[in-house]
Amino acid sequence: MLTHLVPGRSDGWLVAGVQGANLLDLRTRSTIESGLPGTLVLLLAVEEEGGRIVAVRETQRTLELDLWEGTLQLREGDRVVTYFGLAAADSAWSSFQDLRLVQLRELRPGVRYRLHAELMVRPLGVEDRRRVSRWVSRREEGQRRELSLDLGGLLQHFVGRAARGDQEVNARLSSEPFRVEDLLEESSAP
Amino acid sequence: MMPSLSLNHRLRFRPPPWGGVWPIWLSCLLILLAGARVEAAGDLRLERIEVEPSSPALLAAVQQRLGLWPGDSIEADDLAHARERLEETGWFDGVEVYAQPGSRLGAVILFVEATLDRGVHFESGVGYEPFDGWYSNLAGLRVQNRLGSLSELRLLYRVGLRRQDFMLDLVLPRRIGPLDLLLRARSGAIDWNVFSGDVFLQQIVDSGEASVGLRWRSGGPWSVTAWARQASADPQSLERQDDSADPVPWSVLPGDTPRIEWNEWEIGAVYDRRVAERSYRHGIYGALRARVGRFEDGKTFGRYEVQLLGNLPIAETTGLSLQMGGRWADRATPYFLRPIFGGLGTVRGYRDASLSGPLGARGYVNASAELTTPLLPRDGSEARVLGAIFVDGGSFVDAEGQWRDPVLGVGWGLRIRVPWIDHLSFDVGIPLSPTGTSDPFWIHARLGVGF
Repeated sequence: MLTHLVPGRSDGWLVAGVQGANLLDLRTRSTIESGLPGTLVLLLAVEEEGGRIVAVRETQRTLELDLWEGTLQLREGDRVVTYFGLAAADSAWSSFQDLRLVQLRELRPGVRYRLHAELMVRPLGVEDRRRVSRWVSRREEGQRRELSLDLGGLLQHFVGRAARGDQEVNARLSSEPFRVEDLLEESSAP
Repeated sequence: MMPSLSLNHRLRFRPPPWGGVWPIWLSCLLILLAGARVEAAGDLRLERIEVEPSSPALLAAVQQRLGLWPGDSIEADDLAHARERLEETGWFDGVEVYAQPGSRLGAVILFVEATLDRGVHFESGVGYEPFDGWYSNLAGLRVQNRLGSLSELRLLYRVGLRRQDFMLDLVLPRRIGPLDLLLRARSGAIDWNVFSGDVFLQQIVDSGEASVGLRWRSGGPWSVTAWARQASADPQSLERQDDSADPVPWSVLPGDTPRIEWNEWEIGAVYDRRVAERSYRHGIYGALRARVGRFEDGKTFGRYEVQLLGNLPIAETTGLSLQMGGRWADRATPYFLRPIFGGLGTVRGYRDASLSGPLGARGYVNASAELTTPLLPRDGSEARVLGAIFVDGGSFVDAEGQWRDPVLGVGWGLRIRVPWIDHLSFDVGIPLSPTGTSDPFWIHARLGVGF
C-alpha cells in the first residue's frame, strides 16, 4: 500500500515524496529470490481543481538479486544502488523523494491542486500494452504471421459491457488539496 | 502488387557461377554459430515450467510461445514481456507469470497461471507468409478451449494476393495419446501469377482440400506433423492485369488443363528455437517437409522443401539474420503447385514469382543475410525503428529442368514497431541480375522482424 504522498517545492519545481509499504507480494518476492527481476512502476499526476491534469510522471524501478554475490541491485534508469538484504532493498524500493513533477511557474497561485499516485508491482516486467492486446492476438507458424482483431470484444468494450483490461494497480493514494504558495521549500517526504 | 519507381540508371551485376552457392555455405556456418550462441548465453537456467491449469498441451504451447525449455539459459530481458506474449495468443482470459528459485543456485522454476478463454470470437485480421503473400482474414469465428485445453476451431474467409478461400481449421491437442488431431477443409481459389516479359497475367485456379493430420510435439522444440489430404484444382481463364486490349498470350501456359483431383500424404518436421524478444538477434528455426501426391490415374508427384533460419547477436544491439532454403517438385507436379522464384522469401529486388516463369520452377536454392540494428532509439532493445541491409542470392531449375544462372539482390529496409501489433518491415531490393520485368528496384512489405 501507499502510506505517504506529500507535495513540496524544490528549486522552482513542484516535487513529491512517496512512501509505500508491504509492496512485495509473494509472486514478486519469489521471482526476485530466483534471480529474475521484480518491477515497480509509480505513476504520479497533478490535478487542478476542476479536474484538469496539468502534469504526469511515470518512473520505473527494478529490483534484482545477484545470486552469486548475495546482493540486491535497485535500478532506476542508469542509476544502480546495491543493498544487502531484501528488507532494506524493499524499503528503499518503495521510497521516492523529491520527484520533480512540474515547474512552479506553470501552476496558478491561489488555485488548489491535488496529487494522485498509482503504484504497480509485478514479477518480471510491467507491460505497457495490456489494454489493447486483449483484442489483438498474434499467431506465428513457421514464417506465417497473423494478426487478428477481436471485433466482438472491442465492440463490447465500447458499449461498456466488458471491463476487462483495467490497469492492474496495486496501490492508489491521493494527497490533500494544496496551494502552491503554502508548500514548504523542502520536500516533505518521510 | 507493391509499387516501384523508375530510376534512370540500373545496377547490373553478373555473378560468377558460384555466386549463388557461397552464401549458402556461409549461412550454414553462421546458423550453426547462432545455435551455439543460444546454448551459451546467461547465468540462470530454467529448471522447469509449471502451468495452471495443469495440462501437457498447455505446457507445450507455453514453452513454444516463450521459446523456453528445461535446461535453457535465461535472461531477464527474455521474460520481460512473457505475460504479454502469452496474452496476445488470444488463448487466455488472464495470465500471471512469475518465478521461484529452483533446486540449486541459479536454477529457476517458471510458473504460468492462466485462465483459459472459452469465448466465441468474431475476428478480422491480416496475415503474411512469403509464398502466400499478404492476405486478409476478412471475417472469422474462433472458438477455443471448449474441447480440451487449447483446442481451437476457426472458420475464416481469406482474401489475399495469391489466394482467396473459406477455411475451417480444427485443432484438438493430445486427442490420440500424445498426438494432436488436426482437421482442415478449404475451398476457394489460388491466383497463379504469370509474367510474360513485362506483361503481368493472372490465372484463377479453383481449388479445395479436405485434410486430416496428426502432430507430435516433443518436450523440446521439435514437432512432427503428418497429413492425409484429398485435393482438387480446376484452372480457369488467364487474364491480363493491365488495361491493354492486346490478346492474352495463352501460349505461355499449357493448353486446356482439365480439373484434377489427387490424394496427398505429407510429413513435416520442425525445430523451432526462435526467441520472441529480440528476434533478430537470437534463435534458430529449421523445417523439412515432403509431400507425395497421387492422381486418379495412379501417377504420382512429389514436392520437398527445406528451410533453415538463424539469428545471432553482433555487438551490443545489432543482429545478423541468416536464411537458406530449397524446394523441389517432380516433373509431374502441376505447374500451379510448383515453387515460385523471385521476390520476398527467395531473392528480394524482383517481383514475386517473376523469375521462375509461367510454369513455375522445378526447384531452387536460396540464401539470405540481413544485418539489423536499432535506429530510434539507437541503444535500446525496445527500438521503435530498426534499419537493415541485406543480400539475397539463389538459383533455380526452370520447368524444363535446366539450372538457371544465379541471381543476386541487395537492399536496405526499415522495421517499424507499431504499438500493440508487431513490426512492419519494408524492404527496398535492388536486382543485380537481369529481371525480365525492367524494374530498377522493388519494394517488399511483411510482418515481423528477422527471418
